[in-house]
Amino acid sequence: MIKLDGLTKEFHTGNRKITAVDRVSLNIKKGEIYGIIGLSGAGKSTLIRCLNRLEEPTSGDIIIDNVNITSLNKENLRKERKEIGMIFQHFNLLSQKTVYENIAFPLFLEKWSKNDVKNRVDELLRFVELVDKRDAYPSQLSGGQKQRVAIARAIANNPKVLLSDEGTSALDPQTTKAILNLLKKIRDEFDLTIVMITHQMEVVKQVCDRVAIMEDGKVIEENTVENLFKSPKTKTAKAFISSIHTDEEVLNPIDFKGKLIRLAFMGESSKKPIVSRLIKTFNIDVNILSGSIDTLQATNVGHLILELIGDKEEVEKSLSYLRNENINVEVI
Amino acid sequence: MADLILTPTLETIYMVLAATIFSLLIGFPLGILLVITEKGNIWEKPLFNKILSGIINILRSIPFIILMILVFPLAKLIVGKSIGTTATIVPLSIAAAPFVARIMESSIREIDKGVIESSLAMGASVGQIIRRVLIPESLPSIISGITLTIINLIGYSAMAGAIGGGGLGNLAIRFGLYKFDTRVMLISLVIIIILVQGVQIIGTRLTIILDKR
Repeated sequence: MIKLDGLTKEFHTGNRKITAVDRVSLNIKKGEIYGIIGLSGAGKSTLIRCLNRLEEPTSGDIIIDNVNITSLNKENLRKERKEIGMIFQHFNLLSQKTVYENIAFPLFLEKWSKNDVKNRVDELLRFVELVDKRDAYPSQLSGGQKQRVAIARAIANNPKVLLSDEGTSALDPQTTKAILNLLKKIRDEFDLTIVMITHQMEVVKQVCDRVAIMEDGKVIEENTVENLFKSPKTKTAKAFISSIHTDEEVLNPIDFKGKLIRLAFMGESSKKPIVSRLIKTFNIDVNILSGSIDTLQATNVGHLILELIGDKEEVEKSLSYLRNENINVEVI
Repeated sequence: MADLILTPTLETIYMVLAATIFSLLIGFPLGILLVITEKGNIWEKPLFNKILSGIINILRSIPFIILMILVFPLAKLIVGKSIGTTATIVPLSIAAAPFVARIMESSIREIDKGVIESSLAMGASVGQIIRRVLIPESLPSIISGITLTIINLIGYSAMAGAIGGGGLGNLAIRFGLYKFDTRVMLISLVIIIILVQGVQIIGTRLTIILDKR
């Protein structure tokens, strides 16, 4: 659905050249919710803004639904932009227009008839559950409500793709959850492809199917969300995952007699009584230091941090047992 | 007595209203152009922007009294004479137009860049952004700019009265300065104050009513 090939964006300030996006190639499938996560300054915002050419890419290709976005002239780009909805961190609603008029905005741009606009906007208001706010102005709405209006506006003329540039970053955790659920509902009902930029692992965990991790303009790791949670490869990915398990950071192996291991298991293996089998099968003691289960889009990923106490041979045997059970084992 | 006062009052209102309309017709589009043609904006034309900005600055630097004399020939060309109430509308409009352009420019600049960006993302054309975003979003600020323009024009129109235009300024000078009739001068002063106050009150009210932010 969306194909990026060697996408590069350079900025020139004075004599300095900054490569904000560095040869990024990605393949995003139809109906997928694709997350791009990175710290601020990683280039993710520039990347998503290149997708509808709010930012002109320096080189590389962007192909959305078989249309080469990079080669479009101004007029055709304008038409193609109507197929790509976008929401922003700060909502960017028209402050002098009502909720109704804001949602109607893209439809009026397309010269829909008044009656069609009314029907469509009323339908969207029901969809985003803001029927009672129809005639309110943005200043009278909460952050979550504003983002709902922005979402309704972004999908008003049935685009193929929805881009979210930190769409939940200005919202509190509870509202974030509600907005993410709305995005999921949109994907499920309209089969939209959603690309979202975020710096919050919580967001990725809750809605994304696949995720790319960006650092210094490059995609350094890409995987399904389950696999990323199960076995993150890069340091940055690990840091993002541990950012939602804050308790892990305080563990220091030097403070423990036994061997510290981190287990990550998903799907079937998460249902097995691993710990009790370890104790029964091998002559070791197991001390549970921390544990958590992350509910992802497709499955659950469990994390356990254990201290294995016993003689070296037994501990090694138990480790290979765990690996055979399709569990990701990492010695801390 | 009533006629003595009423006619110049109506003349002032006529001059100011006509000059407001003409200066808006010239200044408003220029103000929009000043914003949208700058570097990085929706209709980038940096050279044009620099030239336009330069011209506006030059026009704004000319003192009104000198501008009036400079545009005498132009006034004659447009309205057939260079002196009188109607003729004064020409220099008044030319003096106020660059002011309006700058006021409009700063009103439009107040709009959050993100709002323009989201309109671009929705596939809006430059014309659509001007009509449906820039003007409606800055409307309250535009109204308060127009208020300011009208008040400035009331002041300018009084000055124009001194060199042959009609209106309250003319009345004040004719009676106050040449005939030492302080009473008429004071009356015309009071009427000018009432006009300014009235315009300001209406302008402020309108701005508040229109502003949904």
